[in-house]
Amino acid sequence: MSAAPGLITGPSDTAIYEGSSRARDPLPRGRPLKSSLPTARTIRWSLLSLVIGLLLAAPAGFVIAEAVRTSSDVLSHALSPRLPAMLLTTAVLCLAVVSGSLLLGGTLAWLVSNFEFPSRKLVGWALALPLAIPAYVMGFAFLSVSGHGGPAQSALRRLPGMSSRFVDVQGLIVATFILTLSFYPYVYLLARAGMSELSPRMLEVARSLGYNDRRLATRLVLPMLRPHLAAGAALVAMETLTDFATVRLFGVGTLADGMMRVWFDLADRPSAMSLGSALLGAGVLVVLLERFARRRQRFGQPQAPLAQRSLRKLKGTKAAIASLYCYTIVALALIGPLCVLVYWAAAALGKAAGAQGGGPESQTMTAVGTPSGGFFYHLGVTVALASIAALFCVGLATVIVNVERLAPSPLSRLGTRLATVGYALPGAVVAAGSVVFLAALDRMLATPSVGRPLLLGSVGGLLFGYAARFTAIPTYSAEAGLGRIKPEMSAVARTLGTHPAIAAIRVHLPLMRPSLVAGALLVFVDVVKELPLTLILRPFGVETLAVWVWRNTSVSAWEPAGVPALTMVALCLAATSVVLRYLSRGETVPT
Amino acid sequence: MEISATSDRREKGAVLLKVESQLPIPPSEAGFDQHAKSAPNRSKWNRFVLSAVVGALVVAGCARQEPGASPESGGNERGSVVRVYNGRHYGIEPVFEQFTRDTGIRIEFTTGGDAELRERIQAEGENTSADVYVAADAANLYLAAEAGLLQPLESQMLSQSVPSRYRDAAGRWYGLSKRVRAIAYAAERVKPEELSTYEALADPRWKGKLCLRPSTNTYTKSLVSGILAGLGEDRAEAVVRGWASNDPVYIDSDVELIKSVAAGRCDVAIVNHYYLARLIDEEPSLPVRIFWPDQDGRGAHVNISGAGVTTWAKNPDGARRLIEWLAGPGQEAFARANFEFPVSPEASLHPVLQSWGSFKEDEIWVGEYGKLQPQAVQIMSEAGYR
Repeated sequence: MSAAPGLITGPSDTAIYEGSSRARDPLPRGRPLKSSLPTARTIRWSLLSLVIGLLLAAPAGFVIAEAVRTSSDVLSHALSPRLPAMLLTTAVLCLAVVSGSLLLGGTLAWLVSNFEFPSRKLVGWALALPLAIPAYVMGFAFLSVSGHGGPAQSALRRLPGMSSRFVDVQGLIVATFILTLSFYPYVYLLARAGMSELSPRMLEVARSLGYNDRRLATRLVLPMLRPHLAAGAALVAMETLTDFATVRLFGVGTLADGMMRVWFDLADRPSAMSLGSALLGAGVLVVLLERFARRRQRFGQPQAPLAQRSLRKLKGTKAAIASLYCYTIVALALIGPLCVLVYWAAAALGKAAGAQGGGPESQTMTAVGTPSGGFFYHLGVTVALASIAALFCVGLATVIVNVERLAPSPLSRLGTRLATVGYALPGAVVAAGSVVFLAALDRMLATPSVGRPLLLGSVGGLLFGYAARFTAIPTYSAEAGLGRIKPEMSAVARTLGTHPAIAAIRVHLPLMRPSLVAGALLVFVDVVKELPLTLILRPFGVETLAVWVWRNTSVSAWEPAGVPALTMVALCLAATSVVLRYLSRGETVPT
Repeated sequence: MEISATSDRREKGAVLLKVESQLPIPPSEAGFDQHAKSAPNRSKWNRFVLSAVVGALVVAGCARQEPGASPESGGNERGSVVRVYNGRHYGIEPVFEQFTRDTGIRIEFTTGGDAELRERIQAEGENTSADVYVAADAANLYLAAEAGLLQPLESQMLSQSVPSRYRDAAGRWYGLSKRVRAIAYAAERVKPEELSTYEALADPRWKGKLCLRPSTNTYTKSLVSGILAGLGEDRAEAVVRGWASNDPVYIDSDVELIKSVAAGRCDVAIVNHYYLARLIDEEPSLPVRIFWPDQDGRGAHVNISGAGVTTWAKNPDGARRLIEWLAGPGQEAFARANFEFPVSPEASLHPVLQSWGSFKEDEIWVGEYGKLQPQAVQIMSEAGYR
């Protein structure tokens, strides 16, 4: 690549800037290819991106439209005095959970990706797994153990002088603790994906120049990983903003909780949609902050990213501390909740076995644990839905991200942003928006012979809902992955006369693969756990494991929820181990 | 098994249609076709994505296909299938199976929260698949009826077996089982003589000894609506204010409330009776007892699980048969699955409920809960009840 500031003209129409003189250019990262003039081809590709974006943003659009149409001054009386406190709580919780997740996920990923210490492989894999446990299930599990009647406090009260001591497991701190333990794997996974894309030789060079571990981490790796960390933080912030089940469990009144409250408590849809729009605004703010965190950054990958990477061996106390740290987190975020789930499942199975010979009285309880279709039906439906949704979302994300890179224009940028809007809304709101949108489409498509909706309550409608909500995840990870592919790479491909689509498939895709696989995994896991969308949009007979869990936990029947919850965890565990094997490729341990 | 997913070819068609509209080929773009010809590789890519997605969808579609069901027959068999949007999901399968055995009518159902399902019917309008809406709360049935989602169902049988305070006057919904909001107290620390009404728990003597469900919860809202109807706004607000100033521990789970009483964190909690029945059924030695409140006054607060026929039901006759069956021969199964009380006085009770004896019920029409709920929420908000 030319060392001098240069202007490389593409074969047909695209002008590409590259060079050191523009390094301080406030050009946003991720679109260093600047189109001088929009051409027919650019516009066509951009339109494609825009159409995808518009479709995916339609549910959010309907939410805003409803909020605007029914003027917002009707915001219910019961709500308005609480609004400031609600906003403050949301902001504090969000900041706390994001900071906690960055700290936890970042340090863990750094340790696991760069050092060799006892049981590194095991914890490296286990640390991503709390992702498999929905936050609300972790909340239930935590509450059942540490609640007033739970074993933890019962044990505490057996100590001398503590017999009447009670701890109320409530409030912001507990919610922060649980949500951080649930969401830090987003940062951890993306940071590991980022580190696996880092050039090992660059690290070696830095070491040979006298960088110690700390300088390496703070001066080199941290800045290089900023897009990944920013993307992880954005995911955590969005999840925190949209969670209402867990915060409600601990009595923390956030914006999402307030929205569900006015909607379902007061049947005040307009006010709920106004709050939904506020939530959307908060989500947009998160996205802008994420962009800001990655400002003026360009990354290049000078060589094959999956080359052999060597891990530094930790010895003695350091190794012990590293192991202990990792094990503590694994114990809190994974082993603990798992033990509770196993206990519940065993109790439920024991009861079912005991009840088999029993009379009609005992049937009342077993009936709860075995919904129609049986275990394998639920498992099959869950796997099928989650895999298709993951493929679908990753496909869409790949298209829009590559369009933005290879045919940059305001339209394609708009398309990308629109496609990620749904993630800023709670699943229930996306579902509500999708219901209205799909119902409107159905009315347009309606023919007299069809007695029921075509789209609403079909598998396609459900997949659309998943895509509207989750396409943001692979988009973020794909952008992060693509952002670290040197712009010259795309430019060279184009210079050689390669069609943009071929450039995307041949050049970008292989280099982005770790990021895409990570994105697909996250979507898979999110769909497996997703509840409100599935509940509201699913057709008759589509029963997922999450629905099975919910049907029991919604009536506080913990034990029958154990079997499906454990199965969910096992599913996500399988998905996670696939991606982790991928990420740890090329690591070698020095002998 | 009769109750399961049937697949419908139309639905699959819809899936494909949907996919095509989502794929990166906007057919309206005239330039695109031309472009596709000049770039065979791109169309290959498109074909790959298309076939991958479609293939996956077909797999998913097949996964849902019921072995014996003919996809063609969906329209003709409509008469023998009732489709239910079901907001009461506790052990409902055996009940529907029994209905199918008794009547030969198949049931397809989907579960969800009461309010979400109501929203879905509203959005679907005349396209809705739901014949019957089942909800676990009177307020939601009331709101669905007010929104015009339910149609009147006149039935001699239903008006005889369901007392009038547990159904809509126009027959748009009927209560099928009763759930009582009762007081659970610690057997070791509280004597039943110390307890009387919900209002009495606002007395400062209970300071620090109460465990209550937050105001977000439907049960709490309906209870306060009931008190509002019985005492009027000023006194109801004073009661809620009294509860709130007794520094209750707010826990958003009836089961955890009962466990907190058992553990000794509080002496008294307000819970739905069936949670306590379930826990006592599992562990008879549980040191928590039930107290029926307000027996010398209005009576205990009763809510219902109930059902109504949707305005656009495709199979209203089947829907009527289901609701009549649930109010008649199905009473025991429907109520027992969740330790609830049947609305019909003739049906027998679960042994745990039998052991609790009879009690006086609040005679308010349960639809009032839906009517008064916004006011109840506002009162709780102003009184500082969390």
